Amino acid sequence: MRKKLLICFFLIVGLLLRAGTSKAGTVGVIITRGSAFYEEIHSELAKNIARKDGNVKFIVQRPYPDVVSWSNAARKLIAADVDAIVAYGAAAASAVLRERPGVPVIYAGVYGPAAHQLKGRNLAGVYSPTPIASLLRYLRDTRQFETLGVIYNSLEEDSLSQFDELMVIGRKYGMKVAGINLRRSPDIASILASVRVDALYVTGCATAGAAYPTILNMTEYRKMPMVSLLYDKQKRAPIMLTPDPAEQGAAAADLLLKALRRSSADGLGKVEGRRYLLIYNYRNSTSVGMRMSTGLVTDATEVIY
Amino acid sequence: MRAAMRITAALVLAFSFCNSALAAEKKELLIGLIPEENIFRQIERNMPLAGYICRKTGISIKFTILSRYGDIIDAFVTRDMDGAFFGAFTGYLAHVKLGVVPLVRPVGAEGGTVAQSIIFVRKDSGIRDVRQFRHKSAVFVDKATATGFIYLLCKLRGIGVHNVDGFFREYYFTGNQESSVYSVLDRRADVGVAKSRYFEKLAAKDPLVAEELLVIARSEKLPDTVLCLRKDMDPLIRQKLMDVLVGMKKDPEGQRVLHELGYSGFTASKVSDFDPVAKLSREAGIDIRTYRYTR
Amino acid sequence: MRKQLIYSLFLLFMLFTLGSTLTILYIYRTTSNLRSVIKLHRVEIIRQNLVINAQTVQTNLYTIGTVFGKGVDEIVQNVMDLDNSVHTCLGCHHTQEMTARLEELNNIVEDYKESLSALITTTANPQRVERLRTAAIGIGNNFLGKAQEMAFIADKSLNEKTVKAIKDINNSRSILIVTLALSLFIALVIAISMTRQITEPITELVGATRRIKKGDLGYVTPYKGRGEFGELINSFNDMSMTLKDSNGKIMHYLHSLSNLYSITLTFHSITTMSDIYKELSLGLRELTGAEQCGIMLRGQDGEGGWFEHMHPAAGLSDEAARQMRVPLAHMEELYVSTKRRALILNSGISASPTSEADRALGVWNVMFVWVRHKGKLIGAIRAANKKAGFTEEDARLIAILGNNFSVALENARLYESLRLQMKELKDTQEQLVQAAKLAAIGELASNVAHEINNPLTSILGYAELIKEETDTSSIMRDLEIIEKESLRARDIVHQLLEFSRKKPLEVKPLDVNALLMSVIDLVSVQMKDSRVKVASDFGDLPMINGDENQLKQVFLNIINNAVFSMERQGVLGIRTHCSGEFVEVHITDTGKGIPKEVMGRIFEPFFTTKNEKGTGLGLSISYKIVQSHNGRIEVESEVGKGSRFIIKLPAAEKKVIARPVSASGMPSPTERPEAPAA
Repeated sequence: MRKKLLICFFLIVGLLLRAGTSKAGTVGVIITRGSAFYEEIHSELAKNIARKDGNVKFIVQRPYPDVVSWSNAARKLIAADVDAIVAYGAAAASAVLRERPGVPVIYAGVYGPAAHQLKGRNLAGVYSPTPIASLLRYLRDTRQFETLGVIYNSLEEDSLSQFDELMVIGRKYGMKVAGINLRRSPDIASILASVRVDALYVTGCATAGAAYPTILNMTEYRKMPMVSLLYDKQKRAPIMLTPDPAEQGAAAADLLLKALRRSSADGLGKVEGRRYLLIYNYRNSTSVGMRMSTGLVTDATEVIY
Repeated sequence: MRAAMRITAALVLAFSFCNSALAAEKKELLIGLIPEENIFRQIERNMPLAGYICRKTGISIKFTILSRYGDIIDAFVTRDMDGAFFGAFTGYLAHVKLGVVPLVRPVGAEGGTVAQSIIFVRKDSGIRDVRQFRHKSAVFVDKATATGFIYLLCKLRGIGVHNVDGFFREYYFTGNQESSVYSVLDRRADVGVAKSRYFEKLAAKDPLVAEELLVIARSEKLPDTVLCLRKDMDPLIRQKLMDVLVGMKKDPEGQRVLHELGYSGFTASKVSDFDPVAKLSREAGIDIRTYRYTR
Repeated sequence: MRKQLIYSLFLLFMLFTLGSTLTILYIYRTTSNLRSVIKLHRVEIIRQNLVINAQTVQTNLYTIGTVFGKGVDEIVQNVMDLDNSVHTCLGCHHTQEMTARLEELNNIVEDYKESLSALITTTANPQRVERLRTAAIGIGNNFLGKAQEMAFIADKSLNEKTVKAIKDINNSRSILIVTLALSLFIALVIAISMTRQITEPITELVGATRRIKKGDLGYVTPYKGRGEFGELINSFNDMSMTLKDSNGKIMHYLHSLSNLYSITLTFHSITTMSDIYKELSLGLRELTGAEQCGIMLRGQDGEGGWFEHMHPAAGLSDEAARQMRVPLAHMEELYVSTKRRALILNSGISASPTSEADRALGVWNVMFVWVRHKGKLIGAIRAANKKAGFTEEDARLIAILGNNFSVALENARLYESLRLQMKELKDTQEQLVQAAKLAAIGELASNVAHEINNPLTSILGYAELIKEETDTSSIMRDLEIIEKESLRARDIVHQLLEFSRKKPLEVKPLDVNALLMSVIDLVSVQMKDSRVKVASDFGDLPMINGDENQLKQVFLNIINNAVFSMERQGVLGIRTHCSGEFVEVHITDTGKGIPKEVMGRIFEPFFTTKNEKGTGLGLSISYKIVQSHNGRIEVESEVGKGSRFIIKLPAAEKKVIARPVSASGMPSPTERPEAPAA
């Protein structure tokens, strides 16, 4: 009896364990080309998936940051008959949703307000209400300026939302905000050469990500204070604030596994990322004439001296 | 010139004026300053006051920076201080433990001598009651501040919470008022506590503070800052100091010094000024004699 | 030269100025660099203090959590020191880069203060405190790193400045040396150049002057200089050329004048008219270079008078000259119309008064120069066919010649007249001398007769004796006496003949003493009769050249006069001696003497004090004879005491003739009477 009971127990445990793991599947991934943030989230996601279920196969599409590319990538993945699609960023997620894929769609790395715009069936994701105002405040604490240039891409909803919000905050602070709509990465040099701004705020857009080295070089050359919402592994921006990709990746991985298990993302909802990377590159900030902020030091997750 | 230069110049000036006084008193008064902001600027800002007192009373004053709030009592004793500008809770603490006697309280530029503690959250957090604090993250200023911590303890005790540990998902001390406010604004914490004066100052400066934060609780009025002298201080000196400080607002030169300090004057203080703090402490369940205010 | 001198001095001055400026500049730079080096050392000390302060603060940061209170003041003080150090650095003047770095450093210090302040004052939870500590340490390290970077830069700069300072010192030293050497060299070059530039033209000038002094007029120095010396040399060359030209002109004038003079001289030395015409013509041709030259003289005055061309004439045959005549009136008219100035016709010879003849003679130009005498036109000098044409100068020269010619013409006429008169006078004088000689002979005749009478008496006596004697030996002795007396008479006669004979001057060497002795012998009878004693003193004399008879005549005349003046008694002194190149003969008497009023006339012909006994020619002739022997005759006399005649005759040679032995009966020198006072 005890043996039977023991066998039943192991059977139940085995079934439970089996039920706890996802079935083997193919997951389509859209990572907008040029975004290190999305790459890092995906890397974290993959790590988490691998740690939890090694049977997931990823088909990764890296479209350029434009509507056609995003849609094209979505269509390819749908055509590939993937079991789920992971889209990083609101723009890619929107493109997938427009194609009505019929498979679970998981998004990650989406800015809070933009996440609220994403609506559809079989949809779940991770977003982050990044306190972009804090970055502006740090910028004001470290250097006085009159006109703030905001680099954004109107095609990327996250970036556009951030820009819109910055416009509002700028008005509240009584500062001049000049939008720099970077639709194409190669245009950055000519745009920055012609624009008359005292400080730069880079929103989280893939076009800016692709043009990031140029942006950093030019701001450094022009001694222009600069803050960035762009994730940069090398942490070169004087002040960088991004959602923690690890948190985003882990959360997205959870949602993806659940969706794969259930073959649906419905009901999984939106997960709010609460962790941020506030990296204060003190060395680079001083080189562009930014002063230290003790608040920033104490708030920063990492200070580079 | 720069700050350091000005400090040096002010020191030289103060010393040059006080040579005779020093000879007469044979001692200079060592007064501690509670660090509130940049200590170097704070010293610089207080140097004219030292000079003024010296010129008016012949009593030489030397300001020193007290480090952490909680160390004030130890530092007061070990460094043989003659007095210090205390906060409401530390002043009460020193009064209870060391017997220091309040002398004057600075009157703010807006005319206030008291402060309140406020508890605030983000408007979009949905938190509107202390009970909703459970499993939220919280930010405090310091353990030894009435406005930055004790008042919250008092409120928690009101709902039957005796220990912050376990009640909050996480909490931390920022060490300054401003950081406490911005921690909540930037979503690093859900609940924050700060001195009302600082909150209002920030709200005036940063519209987001006023727009996005919501004050959900406000304490009674507590003394803001109090200059206390050691209990064995010569009454004559005590009186001289009081006369000079209280009379500053009537003296043009004194007015200039007050303007530098950001005060409109000094008003006499008494031990009863600590009563609201004592009450608050009691309500928070703090035994002032055994309270471990350092971490 | 002055410009060169100014430029040279200016160059030297500029060089000195440049050298001095460079040296000062380098010294300034050197001191500046050294100052910088010192400053950098001070900065280095400040930096070290800075670093020490920062390190102290950094150290304190690690203990800040353990021992607060007391440590705070130290940190504050250290940070203030740090701040002071940075401000001290910032207060100095730096390069833009260094200022930027210092400002960055200052910002870091401010940040450091901020972070320290936050760390010291924070009461946050340990994580935050630790973050602040890390921040403060990080900023501090950053500060130290920057300070080290600056130290590296400062060290590099210090090193560079030190090297530069050393280099500048070396440079300044080199420049000073080079400047001095260069200045010295340039000064030397300038001095040599200037000396050469000064001495070369001067030497050249001196040489040129010497050459000019030696007569090399027109010498042009080859020196080609610029400036004042160049101008001087050019002026000198011009002067030399001018001198040469002037000298040429002077020489030309001199030549002309010389010709003129020689012609004029010839005029005055020649006396015949034809010679004058010839000399004038040739001289004119030589003077002017004209082919035809000659003189036209006024002929007979009055109507029908002519100006006729004299001959011989240069370039004209006598026949052609003879045919060339101009009416007097026409010539006078021309003389007046030309206002007495020369008529020069270098062209248009039809206006010539001799135009017809001119044409025949192929004359192409002609000139007439008027010849006047005592304001009257007496002739015209004609010159024709001068290749270069006649000039006013020719006219002036010929006018002078014309004047001389008129004088010469007059002289020639006067000379001719004088010559005729002199000839008449000579004839008369000869007649007078002969008459005087005859008179002297007459005077002598009585003496001679007496002299001859004595031998004749002896001869007659002995001739009578012979007739009476038979003795041969006595006869022979008497005959010998007769012969001797005859010879004596013959000698007397012979001497007389010799004296009276008119003979030309026969000069031969003579012994004056011997001559005097022969004269004394000649008058000895007369002196005996007059009882005049002779006191002779003959010295050693050289020979003289002279005519024996004429000199005898001189001595005879003077001795005769002396004897005559002493009348019947006295002493005749004769003394000879040699005085220099002359032989002097002193003949003194103790006679009446010559009165002063007649002293000046005694040598005049026909002047005599002997009345009917003398001719007045004796002393006159004697004077002339002595003069013809290049001698002199002088006289001293005092009335009542006597006279002394001194005859000085030039000695012919140095050879001395021993004086002759005094004649018997003659007084010895001791017996000589006193010479009459002069």
